[in-house]
Amino acid sequence: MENNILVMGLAGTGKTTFIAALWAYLTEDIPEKELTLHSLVDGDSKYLNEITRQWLTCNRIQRNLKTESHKDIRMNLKVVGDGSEIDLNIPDIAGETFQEHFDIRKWSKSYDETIARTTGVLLFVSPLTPNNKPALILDALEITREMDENLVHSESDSSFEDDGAARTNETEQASTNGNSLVVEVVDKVDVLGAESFGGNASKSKAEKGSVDTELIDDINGVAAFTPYNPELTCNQVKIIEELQFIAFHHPKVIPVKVAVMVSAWDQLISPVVDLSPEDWLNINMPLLYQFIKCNSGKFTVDFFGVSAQGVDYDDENEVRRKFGTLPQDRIIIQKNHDRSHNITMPIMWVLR
Amino acid sequence: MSESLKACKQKECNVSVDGVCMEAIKLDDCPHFYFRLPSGEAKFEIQEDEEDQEDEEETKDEVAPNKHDDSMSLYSGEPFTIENLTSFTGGTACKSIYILGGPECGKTTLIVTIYDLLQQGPFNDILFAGSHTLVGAERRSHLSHEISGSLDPDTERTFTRQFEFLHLSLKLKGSENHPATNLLLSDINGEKIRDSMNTNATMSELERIKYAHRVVYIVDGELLGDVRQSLIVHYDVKLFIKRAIDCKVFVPTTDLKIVISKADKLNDIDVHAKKLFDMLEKAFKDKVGKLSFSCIAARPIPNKLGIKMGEGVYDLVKDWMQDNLLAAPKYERIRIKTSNRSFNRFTTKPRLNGE
Repeated sequence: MENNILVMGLAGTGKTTFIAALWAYLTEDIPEKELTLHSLVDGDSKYLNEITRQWLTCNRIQRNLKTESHKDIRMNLKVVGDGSEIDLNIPDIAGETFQEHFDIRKWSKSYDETIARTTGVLLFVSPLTPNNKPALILDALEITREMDENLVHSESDSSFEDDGAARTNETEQASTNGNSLVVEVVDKVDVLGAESFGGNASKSKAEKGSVDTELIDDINGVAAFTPYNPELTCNQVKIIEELQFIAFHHPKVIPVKVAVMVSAWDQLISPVVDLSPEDWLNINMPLLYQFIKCNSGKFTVDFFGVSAQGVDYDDENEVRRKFGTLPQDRIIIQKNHDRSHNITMPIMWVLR
Repeated sequence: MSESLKACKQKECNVSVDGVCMEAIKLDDCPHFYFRLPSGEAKFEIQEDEEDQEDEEETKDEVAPNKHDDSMSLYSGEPFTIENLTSFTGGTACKSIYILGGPECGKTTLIVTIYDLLQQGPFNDILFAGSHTLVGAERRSHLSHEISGSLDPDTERTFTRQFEFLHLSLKLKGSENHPATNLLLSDINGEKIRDSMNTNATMSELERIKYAHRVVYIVDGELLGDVRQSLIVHYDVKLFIKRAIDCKVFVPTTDLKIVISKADKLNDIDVHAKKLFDMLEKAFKDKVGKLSFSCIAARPIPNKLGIKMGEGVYDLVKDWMQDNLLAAPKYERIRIKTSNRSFNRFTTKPRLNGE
């Protein structure tokens, strides 16, 4: 049986970093490999080698490299255990034509042919891409109203000047507790993806405390009105539409296995909240999660947390520490609550 | 290809003016390049010459290989119209829900609210299973999203006077492996509803409503709270229903729900609701299959009362997902003569919504 796995996802969802890490795995001499490279379909590994160099040295993949690579990448892999072969297709590593499928309602004939022979999908999503689900104006107004109410209450508390230090200490304690609560909530939100507060999910951990302030500024500031444009559609809707396109226009491909790959997983690991990749999707892309659960007859889905980067590139100390370890040990793959460094795990799951 | 149709996702690029990519990339190779119709919609334009005339007959829902480049068309995602509805419903059992009411009473806001709530998570035990009109839903809900830049949530007016249908496929928790309920939601332009009160001819344009799974007539709660406006509201709803019955738009199998919208803006809602509902029940109880009443606050202004977005909407949607218990009238079933070479079929009068 032919195994054709399609790698897809919007721009900036970690596909390139994953492919770079996978290419390093395939080309390095690593003990107990599960997958090996059989051949590269067009024979030209220049792009793959270049992105792998960037990955090895903990550098972000350059944008010009991504756009140059707008051609298809196809790898022919071999399973060490039973010798079966897999075609790994990455028709759109930049993720931009994926977006255009929703925007202009076309895809290329070559993409269509790739879909027609697909037996499995690695679908990348990321907590770092903005607009995973829509932020509702009504929710923002409700938050502002609650904050205004809390402000009124705390102002009226601090107006009591009797009882000197005891009362003052009480107020400070209450304020501290209030601030602690806000920080804790923001921590959790940041761990969970920071989407529900309409904040910028790509904030570094150091900027967490300013999320609520910026939200207020956004609401009170003068925002430029933007008329509807398909590009403004949130990511979960675009991904649902892509899956619907596959089911509608290529029913013979169905049912198909889909490994949902939640990238940048290292940034979501927290001692406070033990999140699984499925939990993350349920919270941050709930429409997509519902769609997946309701269409199990068409899509057999499992969820993987993936960090091919394994480290925050902006954290110099962390990067230096990682150079002391083997590159493949930077990789984090999590299924449910179990973690490993085995980058082939999602691919092997799709195969089974 | 007209140069005015060339477009680029990068705003700084002048390809729409001079036809040249600012990155000096061949247009076919540039990932940002696409074609856009003058209306603003992003599509591929069909050439107006003999060779392409057969392409004009292809529907949006077919994968249409294009003769001039290597692209294939995907289904449009726009709301269904009368013309293309059967291409979808021919293969999919659907329940049509017609949402009626005067201008700006909250018809589209109701639909948008359902969609927005699902975008945030399951709607109680109601789950989103898909939609073939996501572009239409997104366009309608845009003004309720922060990304629009609006400071207050709003809903775009429904300008078209034609029937349009948004599709929602829903399931209940616990029934994820069962078939979905496919709803077709049609919110008709308020001015068209108002015009249909005036003549039988305009009311008859709404004839297809008699095949509806459910009909919802929305009464603007904000107007009910005004002494003068409430007189007009009472008059209009009674006039509409009477004419609809006379013109057989509402029939003995019609399941009609009168819904007071914007309930958060109406003081003494119980009093106003009772007055309206008592009047309508007295006038029409035995004239339609089922008459019921409810109040909703689809998009309440933030308030201390704790009225949440979509208040009352869950019960509406849950009811829509139930089967229609009203039996189809006998006149709807006809026998079609067939040749000896095929099986005889006993079927209903063609149902325009595929019900």
